[in-house]
Amino acid sequence: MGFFETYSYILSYFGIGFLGLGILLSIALIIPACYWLFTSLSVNQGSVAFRRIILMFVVTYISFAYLRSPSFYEIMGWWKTTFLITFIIGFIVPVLRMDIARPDRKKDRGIAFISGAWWSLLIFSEALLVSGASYQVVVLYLFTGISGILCGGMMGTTFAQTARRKISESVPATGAQ
Amino acid sequence: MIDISLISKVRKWLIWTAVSAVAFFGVIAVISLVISWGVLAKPMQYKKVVPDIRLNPGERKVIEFESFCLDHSRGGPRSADAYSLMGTPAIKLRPYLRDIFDEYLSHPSRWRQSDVQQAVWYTEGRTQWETLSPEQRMLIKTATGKEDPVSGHPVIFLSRMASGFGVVVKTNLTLAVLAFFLVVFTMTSPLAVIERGISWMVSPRLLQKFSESRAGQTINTLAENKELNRVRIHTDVLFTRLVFKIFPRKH
Repeated sequence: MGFFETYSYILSYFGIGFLGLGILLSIALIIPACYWLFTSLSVNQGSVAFRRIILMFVVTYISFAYLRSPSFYEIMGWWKTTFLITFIIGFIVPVLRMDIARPDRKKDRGIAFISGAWWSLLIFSEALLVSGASYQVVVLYLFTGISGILCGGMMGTTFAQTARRKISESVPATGAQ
Repeated sequence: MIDISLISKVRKWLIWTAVSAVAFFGVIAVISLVISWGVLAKPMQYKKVVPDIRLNPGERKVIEFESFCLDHSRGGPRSADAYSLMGTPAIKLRPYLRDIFDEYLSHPSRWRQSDVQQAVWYTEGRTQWETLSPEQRMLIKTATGKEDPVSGHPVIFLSRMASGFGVVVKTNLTLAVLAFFLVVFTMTSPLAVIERGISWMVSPRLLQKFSESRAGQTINTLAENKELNRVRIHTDVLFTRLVFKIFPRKH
C-alpha cells in the first residue's frame, strides 16, 4: 500500500469510531430534541411570533436538507411545489378559523399534533433508509406535505391569534360609539 | 457587551484545537509514511493505451465514452440531466476502483462492460464475493491481485456505514442542536425545558449538578440577555404591526 492508502486505512478506523459514536448520540438525542421541539412549538406564551418564525426556518431547513440528500434522488421534481401548496393550505386554515379560535389557550394542541406527525414520519423514513429501502416516494411526499402544513400552520395560527386579539380589543371601541 | 475574558478563552480553545488536530493527523501521517516506506505505487497501465484529450483554442472534437455507475443505490439519470467531463474523488478515495478501471482500459477487449460495472459496484462493499460470476471474480483478481479484496477493508466498511447512517446521523444531530438553541433563545425558562427533555436518560442528581454548573448558568444568562430580549420583542411588535395593518382598527 502507498502512503495515501495507508493514511486513509488508519484514519478510517477512527472514522468508524466517530460514526459509531454519532449513531449512538443521534439515537439518544432525537427524543429530547422531539420534546424540546413539541414544547417550543405548542406554547402560546412569551414572544410567540419570534419563536415560531425561527421554528419555521428550523423545520424548513431540516426537511429540505433531508429531502435533498443523494439517497432520495428519485423524488426530485414536485416536492418543492408540494411544500409550497401545503404551506399555503396550512396558513389559510387557521386564518379562516380565526373567529372560533380561542386566543387565551396556553398550549396549541393542533400544532403539537402536526409536529408529532412530522417527527414520526421523519423517524419512519430514516428507519426505511437505514434498512436499505431507498425507494420511499410516498413517505417522502407525505413528509414534505406535513412539513408544509406544519410551517404554514405555525405562521397561520400565530397570525390568527394576533388578529383575534386585535378584533377582541376593537369590539369595546366600536361598542362605545 | 462582549466579555474580554471570553475572547481570550475562545482564542485559547481555538489554538488547542488546531494543535491537537495537527498532532493527530501528523502522527498518523508519520505512521503511514513509515509503513509505506519503500513500497512502490503500482504503475497505471492505461496511459500507454488511452490517448490524452488535447484541445486547441477554438477546436471541437466529438468523442464517444463508455460510462459506469459508481453508486448503486442512487436513482437512474433522467434525460434532462446535464453531464460534465471531470475527475471524481472516488478514484482516489475508494480502494481498488482505480485498479479495476486501469485493467479495463488497458485490456478493453478482454472484459465485458457489464462485468466491469459489477466489479465497480463490488468496490462499494455491498456485493458478496460469492454472488459474482467467475468472469467478474477473475477481473477483480487480475486488477487487484487479491481474492475478495473488499472483505474487512476499513475504508469500504466506513463508506458503507456512512452511506447508510450518514444522512440519519446528520439530520438527527442537526435537529437536536437546533432544537436546543431554539429552547435557549426563545423560551422564558429554558433550563427547565431542557432538563425535562433529558430527565428520562439522566439521573436527578446529575441534572441538579448540570443546572448548578457553569453551562446551566450560561443557558439562563443567555436567555435573560437584554439584547436578545429586545430582538424577541421587536420581532413580535413587527409581526403584530403587520397583522394590524391587514386588520385595521374600527372607529
